[in-house]
Amino acid sequence: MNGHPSSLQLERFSVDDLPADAQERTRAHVLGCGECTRSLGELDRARKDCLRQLPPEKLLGRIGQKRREIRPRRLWIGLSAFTAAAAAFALILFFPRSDRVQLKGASVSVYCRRGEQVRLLAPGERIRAGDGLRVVLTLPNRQPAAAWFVDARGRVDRFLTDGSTALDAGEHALPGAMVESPCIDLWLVVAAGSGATQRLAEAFERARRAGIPPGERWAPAGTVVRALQCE
Amino acid sequence: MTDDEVADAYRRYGSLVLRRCRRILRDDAAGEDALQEVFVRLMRYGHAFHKAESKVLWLYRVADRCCFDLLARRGAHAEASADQAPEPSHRGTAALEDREVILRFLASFDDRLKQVAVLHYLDEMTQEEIAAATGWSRQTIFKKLAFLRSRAAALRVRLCGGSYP
Repeated sequence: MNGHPSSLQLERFSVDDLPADAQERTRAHVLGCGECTRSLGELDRARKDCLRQLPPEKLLGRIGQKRREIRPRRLWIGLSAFTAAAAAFALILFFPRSDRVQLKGASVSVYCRRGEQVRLLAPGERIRAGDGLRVVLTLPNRQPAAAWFVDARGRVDRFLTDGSTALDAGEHALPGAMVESPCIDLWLVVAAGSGATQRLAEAFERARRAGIPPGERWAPAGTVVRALQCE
Repeated sequence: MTDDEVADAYRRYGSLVLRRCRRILRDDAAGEDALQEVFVRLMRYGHAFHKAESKVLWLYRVADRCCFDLLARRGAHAEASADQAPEPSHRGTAALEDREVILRFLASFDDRLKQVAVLHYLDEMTQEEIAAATGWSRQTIFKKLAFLRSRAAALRVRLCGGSYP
């Protein structure tokens, strides 16, 4: 072995994760190297500290809680493409189109599922924890688009991110989201046209850097912003 | 994966994952959040973990992804304060300086650059090893590393006028 093993090799060595020959080579090096022996000692101490501070039972409890919290949203997002398309068709068929926000010929509608009811969310209408939100984007011609949620804490949910791929003209039911508990205000920001994702990313980054509170002011010019405030 | 299997994996690999998350995020509490997310994903994708030749590398890739997601949410706030001391390394001073600067400003890079930066500066992988780990060409890795080095130089100037504290 030339020189010291890398930190990654040492880490893998410490849990017997290297292939057998590399494990042996590393062992031979470590036996004669005080620096690497010390590094291994630090890893061992870190392991004991980690298990003492966060025992496996505690970790399992926390991840169980986390899974329960995210499950509703995952289920909602996990609707098959067919189901989503069918839902979009049903939504488009049964709900009025007057509450759409226009974007250079494109329009954005937000539907809210509360309990068993699904309805078009009127501008200014408020959301609450547990509401299922679905965005339908209508494009007049084939073009790239990006649609992101930003919440009042500045967290960004990029549920339509691939701005490099153009979407066909027509209705697009985008993946949905479940309003978390406790409810937190959301803003939907939609950009269309080439470089849509890039424009949103840059604008959000600029806003963050400038310390602008999350909200409408994060959205760049030429985008649609829909505020979804909690009850 | 069952709870017992996840607990076993955590006993064995948890501290390595936590250490990595903390180094990437430069924040102990955020590191713990990422650690939990990694083991949530382990529970969900246990079959892939079982098949992985290297459990550590599999967990590290998941940890990287979780950390990058957290960094994206945290945005520019990830630019950590300048009071954190450089960590020891077997590498030379210049590499150490680059590593410190790049990891400090990791959030400002796109995900591909973040991945290359972590593999090179944290895992101390060579270009060939990064190419093998990511599936990207050596030419791509070369360009990204060159870009990272130039950014490191520029950021060092921004931080402290050309010399590292």
